[in-house]
Amino acid sequence: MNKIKVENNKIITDLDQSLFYDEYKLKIIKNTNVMIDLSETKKDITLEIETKENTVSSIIILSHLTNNYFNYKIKAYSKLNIVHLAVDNTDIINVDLKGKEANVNYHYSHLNFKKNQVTFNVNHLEDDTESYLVNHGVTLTNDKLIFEVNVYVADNSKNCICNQDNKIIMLKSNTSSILPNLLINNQEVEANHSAYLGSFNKNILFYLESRGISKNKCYELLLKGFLLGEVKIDKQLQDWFFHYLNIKKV
Amino acid sequence: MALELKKLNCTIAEKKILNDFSLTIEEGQTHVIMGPNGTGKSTLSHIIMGDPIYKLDSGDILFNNESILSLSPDQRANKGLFLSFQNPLSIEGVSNSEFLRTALAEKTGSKVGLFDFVKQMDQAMDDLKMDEKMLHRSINKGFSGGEKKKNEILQIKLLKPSFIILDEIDSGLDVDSLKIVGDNLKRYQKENPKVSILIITHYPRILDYIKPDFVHMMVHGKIVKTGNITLAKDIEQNGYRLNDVSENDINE
Repeated sequence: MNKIKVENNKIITDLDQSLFYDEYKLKIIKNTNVMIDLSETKKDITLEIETKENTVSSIIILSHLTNNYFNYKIKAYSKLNIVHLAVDNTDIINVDLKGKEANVNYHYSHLNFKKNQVTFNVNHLEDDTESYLVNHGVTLTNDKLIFEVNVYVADNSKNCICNQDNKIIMLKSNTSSILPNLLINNQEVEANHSAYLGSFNKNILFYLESRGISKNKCYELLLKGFLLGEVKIDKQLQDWFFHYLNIKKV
Repeated sequence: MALELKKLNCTIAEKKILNDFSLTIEEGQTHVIMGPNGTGKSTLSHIIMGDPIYKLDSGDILFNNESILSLSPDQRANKGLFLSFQNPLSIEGVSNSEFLRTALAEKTGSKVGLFDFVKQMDQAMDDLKMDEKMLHRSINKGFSGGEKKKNEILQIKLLKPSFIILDEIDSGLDVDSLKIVGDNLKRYQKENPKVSILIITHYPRILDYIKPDFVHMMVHGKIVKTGNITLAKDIEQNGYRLNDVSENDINE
């Protein structure tokens, strides 16, 4: 897998010919996989990622305690699958679906300890573009997390599909919120949005406990399932993300 | 004795759900509770398992002569109790294999490797005619009614409880699935003769596979009649004939 790692001000890249990187701008030329590791920098990052036409690529992003700005431009007939694991970040994520049949599949998982806001702006600028957003956050303290998710469909963009699934599990009482906005200017669009804020279903907890699983272990299972779902990533990355979950304190 | 329910009383929203409910189930026995809808059968099963949603007003539950009232559901399960749910829940994101491996690890105190676990599950899944892929899917997500019930039996085969509560195990099962579930339960009972079973059901179909020692009719939160398989057949043919159940029967 290609790698870009930012350690404070130093950028380490290990990339093949499928992509080109220069000054926080990444251009995907051919189908590729890339990991962008921002977990060991305290610097706020602005990153531009652009695909060429006819590419299918996957990106994994790790980020921790920073305020980042991600700007994606996806060209025609290209698909970008993104798994973004964020710990205590304030992120702004813009996705421009700039060409016909451009497609983004964004799975954003957030562990929240301090007050944070994550803003998504997904712009369907051409026909037949598709966006699938899964934004799942867990708040572990009394500080709130805000998800603002704006999906915009231009008036001349027909046959678009836009789906957003937003959930925040609050393990402590706080005033987290979700703003799931669909700004659609074309009649021929398939769109779904959902928002859930709260705790895990008590019946589900009872079901797991009734199989001899302790409450702490139940929470661990449920939190991992909630944050990653059916996303497949290396165990090493999972361990990095989940070590921030202090289940005993939960 | 395996399980003794002593004068259980439970009220929900000012409605008496269990009314001095008492029942003793000895080791190796199979009991059946039948009763009209809303009579408290499922509530009883959840109370035995320690569902925190339900609080007892009074009474005690002894399992192997020890009160389990203060125990959490997981502690009760690890003592050998198992409740097969009427409507097993779907849990997105948590795979069946991860769930079962965790449950097994909690019971045995040691972690089970994925390879050994899958090997262990192979025969059980084959017995239940379950697709191996179900092991790697989210718990009960997208499963049919029959598949969910088979998944409950799979958990029994893995966790090997000594006391099983089957809450409407036959609901949602077609004839073929009922036979598979019934045969597997029968085999489990044969392999574990000390296992006790409490069956909560509306229909005696499952009793073609698991022969009961006692059949109880439950009305208004208590047992009003006890008999054998004939009582179950009679209820199936003639209904509960609630008019024949006097207030005295209920309060006796």
